[in-house]
Amino acid sequence: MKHKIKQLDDVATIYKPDKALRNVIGSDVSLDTVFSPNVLKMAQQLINEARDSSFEQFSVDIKTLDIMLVKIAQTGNAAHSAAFVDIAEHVANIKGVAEFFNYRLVSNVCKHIIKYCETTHYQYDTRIGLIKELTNILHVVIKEKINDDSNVIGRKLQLSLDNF
Amino acid sequence: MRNAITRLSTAAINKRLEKIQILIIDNSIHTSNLIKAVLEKFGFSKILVARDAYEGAKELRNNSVHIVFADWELKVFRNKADIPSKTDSLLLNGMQFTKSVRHSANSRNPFVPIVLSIERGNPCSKDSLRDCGVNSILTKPFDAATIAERLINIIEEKRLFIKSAFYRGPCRRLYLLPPPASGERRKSILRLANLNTNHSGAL
Repeated sequence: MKHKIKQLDDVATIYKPDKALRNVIGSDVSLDTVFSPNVLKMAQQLINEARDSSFEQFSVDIKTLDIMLVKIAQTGNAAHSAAFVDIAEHVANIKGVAEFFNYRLVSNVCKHIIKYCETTHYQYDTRIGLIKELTNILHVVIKEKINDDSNVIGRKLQLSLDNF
Repeated sequence: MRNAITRLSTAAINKRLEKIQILIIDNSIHTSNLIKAVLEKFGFSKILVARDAYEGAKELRNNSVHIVFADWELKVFRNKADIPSKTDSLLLNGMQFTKSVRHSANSRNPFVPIVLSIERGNPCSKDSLRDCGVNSILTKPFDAATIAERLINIIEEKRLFIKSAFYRGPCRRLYLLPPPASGERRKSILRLANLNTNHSGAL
């Protein structure tokens, strides 16, 4: 069921609210049962566990990043583009988790690494060098579990990031 | 009616929820997996995951998706061999992705509910995010209850869907309230203003 109304020079079509999802679930299913306090508690527990283990996950991911950086330094120029894409994709994984839990410093460093993976304004060696420096910062942030720039080390690292 | 609701077992409810297909689009596999795990805890089992805007658009074309959870960052890192034009590869953020789903002639379901998750401090204003046609916005960090709340709002959607040349998406009036009881509607206020102008000659 749709109605047409005239709006100056544009015609807007208005559709009734989509009940497709409700129809699929069925009108006899109470959403209070689907999203019961117990279910919400279990789901929240998953998020909490992921938050608690996020820095351990970062440590694993950064080790893989180190290996990728060693490999990229050993490969020829022809294989560099693909290697930079691999690094950017890998760092995007870390950045996603950092954003999800509001670890701003980790997310900022990752943004810079992705930026240097994507840019073509610098030569390969310069880009690799910059990414290595940023990875070193990431090592410190993850080791010290620094969430943002509210402490001294965080502020210093954020300042050094501004120079990149 | 209440008895009929309570009589349904968890297994029966889960069987119904199995019919709903959800698509998660996120550059981070870890985040996609986390959201997927949360949705699975709620009882949803048909969950598709896409890595970027291009993969997401492809999944939407090939599957009957009921709900989309899209992240703000949907960068296409890898060169896709089957990207037909440069414009497809430029779908980099959730806002552009939503607009393309709503406006594209190739879109399988332009009405599909889209929940966009954004980072705290995202430079885009809430108004511009709303104007791209998303159903709901999730600001990170969010908890399980917030995801559930968004899902309930989508399932019990009360808003009209607007399709015009400038905007396609759910009605941007979040609350459909009846006119005020006092009878002070815009038209009557305007008429009153005109009358005042005519009488006093001011304005």
